[in-house]
Amino acid sequence: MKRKLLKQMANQWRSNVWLVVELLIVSVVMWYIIDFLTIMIKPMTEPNGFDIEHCYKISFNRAGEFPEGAEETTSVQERRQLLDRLRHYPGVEAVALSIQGVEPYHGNFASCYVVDVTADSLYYGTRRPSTRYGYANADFLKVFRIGGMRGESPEEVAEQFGSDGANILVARNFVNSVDTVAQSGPVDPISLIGHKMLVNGQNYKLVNVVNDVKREDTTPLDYYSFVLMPLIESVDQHIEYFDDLSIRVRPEADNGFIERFRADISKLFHIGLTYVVDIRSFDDVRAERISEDSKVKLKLYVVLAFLLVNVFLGLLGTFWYRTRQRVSEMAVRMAAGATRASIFRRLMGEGIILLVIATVLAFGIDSLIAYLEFNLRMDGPHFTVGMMAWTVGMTFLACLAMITLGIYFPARAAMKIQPAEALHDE
Amino acid sequence: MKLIQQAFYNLRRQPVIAAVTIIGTALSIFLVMVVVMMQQVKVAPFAPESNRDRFLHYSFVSFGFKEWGNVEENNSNCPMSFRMVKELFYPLETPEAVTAYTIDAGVMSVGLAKQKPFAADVRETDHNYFNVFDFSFVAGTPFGKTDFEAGLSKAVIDSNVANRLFGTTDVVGREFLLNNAVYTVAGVVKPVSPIATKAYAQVWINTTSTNTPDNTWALPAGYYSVTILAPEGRMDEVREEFNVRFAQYQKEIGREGYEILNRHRPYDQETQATSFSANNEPDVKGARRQRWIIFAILLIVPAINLSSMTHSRLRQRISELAVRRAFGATRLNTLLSIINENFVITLIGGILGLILSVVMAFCFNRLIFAQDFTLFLTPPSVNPSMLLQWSTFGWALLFCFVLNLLSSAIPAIQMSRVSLVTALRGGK
Repeated sequence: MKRKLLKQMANQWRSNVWLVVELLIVSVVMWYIIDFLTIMIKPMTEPNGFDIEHCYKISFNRAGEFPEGAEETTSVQERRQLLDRLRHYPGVEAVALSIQGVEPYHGNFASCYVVDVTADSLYYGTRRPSTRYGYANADFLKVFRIGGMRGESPEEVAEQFGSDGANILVARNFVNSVDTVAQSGPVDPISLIGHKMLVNGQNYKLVNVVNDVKREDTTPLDYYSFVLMPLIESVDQHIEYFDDLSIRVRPEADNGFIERFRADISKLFHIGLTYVVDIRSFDDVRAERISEDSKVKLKLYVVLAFLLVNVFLGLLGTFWYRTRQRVSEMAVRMAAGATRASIFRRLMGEGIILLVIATVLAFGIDSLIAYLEFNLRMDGPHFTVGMMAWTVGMTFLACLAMITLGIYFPARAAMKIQPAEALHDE
Repeated sequence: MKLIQQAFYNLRRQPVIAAVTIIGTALSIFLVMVVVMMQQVKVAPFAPESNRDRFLHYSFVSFGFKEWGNVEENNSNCPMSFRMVKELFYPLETPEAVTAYTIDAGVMSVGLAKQKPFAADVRETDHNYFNVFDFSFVAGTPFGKTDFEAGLSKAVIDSNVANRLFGTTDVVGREFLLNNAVYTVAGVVKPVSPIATKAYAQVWINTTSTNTPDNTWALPAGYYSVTILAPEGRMDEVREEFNVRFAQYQKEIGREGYEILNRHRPYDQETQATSFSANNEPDVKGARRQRWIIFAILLIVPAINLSSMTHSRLRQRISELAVRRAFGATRLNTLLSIINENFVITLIGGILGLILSVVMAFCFNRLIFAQDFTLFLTPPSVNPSMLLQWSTFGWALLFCFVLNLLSSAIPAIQMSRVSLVTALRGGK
């Protein structure tokens, strides 16, 4: 049976070669795209280290001139009052102030060096992950639910962080950014707690280590580390310069919060010249921030779909013609006792053999592409055997599905024919 | 005519294979045309960026400072200060016009004294902006040189904003509030799609009426981008003059410790459209290569399909072809007639694909044409004048022709080679 199948396929080698060439090209391009997509999607499955559910971002501004007759107030006074009103607004759980884009999904980013004074001036921040750093108040941890590495709750960490401006926090992967010249192996993050750290020429105490905090879902975990510096609310200068304002709302108050808040903006949040421009849910902030990635992903899905549809059409067309020509052969087989299922299996056998040939050839090309690092991403080579097995396997399965569909329709049409009628042609 | 009749007859005879052929062609041309359109809206001229082939853009400056070390390694990349614009660009003499404007249209609140304000995208510009970009004015005129020099609070608004504010577009001279400051309407223009990246906004205000010109943190750094409009056919002269002026300017700011890394600016429209970030030089050749690879994949895969389909179709007609040969048609004749006939089918699929791509462009504009990294208040709408240009049809026809040649040439050659006797017998 198997030998006969091969012989029959060899007799139709011309159209089979076309199919193999097509499957080969499709297989290589699909492998490349699946590889790309896997690299893009993988970071999204890793934990973010923060939580934006029930969080809102508040944008505010200060206008130019005082209206006639209005009492002149300073920007700091106005901002303090704004914060006060926000904290007392019904449903608000905590208010986060920050500088330098440490908020999740922020477009800005600043990095720094940290010197561990206690450990003989060990240098951090010289290599990946780069140390993303900025200033925030203690409630920032509560708003974005950033907890300690040893399972401490955000409230406990916020308590330790305090409000006197003497303490800093780092994320777990901070230790990986240590200067390799000074230190050969990685340090245990917990052992750093209590150390005196020098940042921007000032001394701080490291009070705890928090979970890894990503910048956004789509960046790999080892891309950025995180250093949280203290923003002291009692200092006027800090109040004058904070530029990001976010709130967390109690879950029971979240329903319709945006609408209620918007309606109150002109009544409650126009204070002197300072006014709240708008409130946005962090889900929207997130969608805007990762919209680039989403667009790229969508384009890749379209190309994948295009290739698969072509495989389907190619097999549909070729097998339609082929089964038409073989009607009498099939009729003889059926007359000799072959079932419909066995005929379908035989046709499928042809498709699978073609796909296996194409996949073996494609695997060679794929390996070459991976070896030459043509599929290099921004975060470096990512070749592993598991990854290769996943991408090649997915490509094979997707093609197999299309081949099954492409063969099913012509096979069904061909098998409907009555053997007697078909044999009559002879 | 006979050719078309014959093509239709053959299509009807094998409906499944005909459907597969046409769907395959339509799908391929559809995706190819979406890629073509995505590129076209970035480079093809349409109002108000009708002069794209004469634009030279200087959107960002890359500079170093003596204390930062080597400029190649340590540089800052950002829009320009107004001082740099005034000293480097305004004095240029060859260009037809030079304009400076804020790099992005930012959201501000627009309203009347006792009315609830709404958000609009606002861009600050100089008066020459309206000479470089050809807005169509529904009422009034742009603000002029005297307004610019005197720093008057004048604005041009689009008709949507005018209608929302005043309920009419006949509003020249009326006042409104922009972030609580009073502005006077100088003119009203037709709305602009964000696809015109440099011209887009909903409100354009005289930049000297704000403090943006003085807002800077280093000599070259600020908020402005520049577009130079070169006279017809004199791009190179403009570049030459710029280079001379630039060398001189480099010396001037060198005295204050700054150094500019020029990165071959100013860029023409295609280079600017390829530019991804200010700290990397745009790779026009790389982008073109990438597009050709995409085209190749989109054409070759279906071509293989269609080729084997054509082969099947021709095999059934082998005796007919043989009869033609027997009556004196040459091999070349047979070959050409097969290719011609196939071209009719390709064209049917191609037209379907083109229609599909235009429909997509209108319905899913946000998806296909959205700007990178910015979300404007207006969706990136397209209009027929942007998409339906002769070049679009030209490209579509060309790609159809290539697809046809790829899919029918090999089977046609094989068929024209079959020996007459076997063919007449109906053999293979």
